[in-house]
Amino acid sequence: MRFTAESTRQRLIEPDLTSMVDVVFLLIIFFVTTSSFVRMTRADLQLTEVPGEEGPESTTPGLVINIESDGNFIVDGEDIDFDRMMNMIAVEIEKVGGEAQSLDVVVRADRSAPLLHINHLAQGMIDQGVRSWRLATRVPPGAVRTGGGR
Amino acid sequence: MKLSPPTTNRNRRMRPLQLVSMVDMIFLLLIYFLASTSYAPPESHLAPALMAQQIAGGRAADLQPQVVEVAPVAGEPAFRIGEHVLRSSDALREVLESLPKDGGVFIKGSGNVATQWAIEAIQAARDAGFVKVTYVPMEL
Repeated sequence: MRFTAESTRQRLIEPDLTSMVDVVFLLIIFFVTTSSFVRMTRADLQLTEVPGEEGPESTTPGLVINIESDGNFIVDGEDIDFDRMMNMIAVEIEKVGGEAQSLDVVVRADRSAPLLHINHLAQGMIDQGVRSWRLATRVPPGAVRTGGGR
Repeated sequence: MKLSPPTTNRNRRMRPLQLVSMVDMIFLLLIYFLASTSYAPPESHLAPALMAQQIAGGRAADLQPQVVEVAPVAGEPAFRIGEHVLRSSDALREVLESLPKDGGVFIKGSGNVATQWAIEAIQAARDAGFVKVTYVPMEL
């Protein structure tokens, strides 16, 4: 009786390429969708280089508003006018149960954009009951953040 | 009597793993991700409270906030706090550090200066130790 040859043969299991390809395709789909999401929310802007402040980070802001140097508003990769943006803010407030104060708004403004556009936006948010926002900054290399607070 | 499986099946089962095509695929994926990933510099944030100008001006309080105005002075953007006209955020921070902080600080931004100036003023207030920082939009 020869047991050795048989057991060696059983150990050489053929790898299942089907599941491997499945996993690879899942990874591709994951990376493609997440990278396009980041691109949609963050426009290519020259943010002000200051360290910012330490505070609770919200991983999923309710609304990210980009303001270009010429004052254009961009939300989710789309140019929108002021009135439409106010409507979007109203919709987002509805999504958080009508409590405007719990809406998390991140404003990413180009550092050379006139403050007039920020003021216009800020006044519009105040009119809708929003009392807090976050202004995005670019962290300079080696910068230390200061303590946050209201 | 032949009980063992046919030779073709046995050969198929013992076929070595095709590593070449696997490595090809991994390198293709690597190149794809390297090419498609864009470098995003790290971002932070400043979170001043928001307040309308008329409310800010019309309410009396025991503790009066400091008021920093970001506006052009003699044609150039500047920070104005009381009688001080300051041209840099470092100078603003030094002045703010010497002031009482209990009432907080209002940053009033004029519409015809760049956003950078207002954000630097908010950062200077935070760095000076102010906890309550409020942004008040002007000139609409």
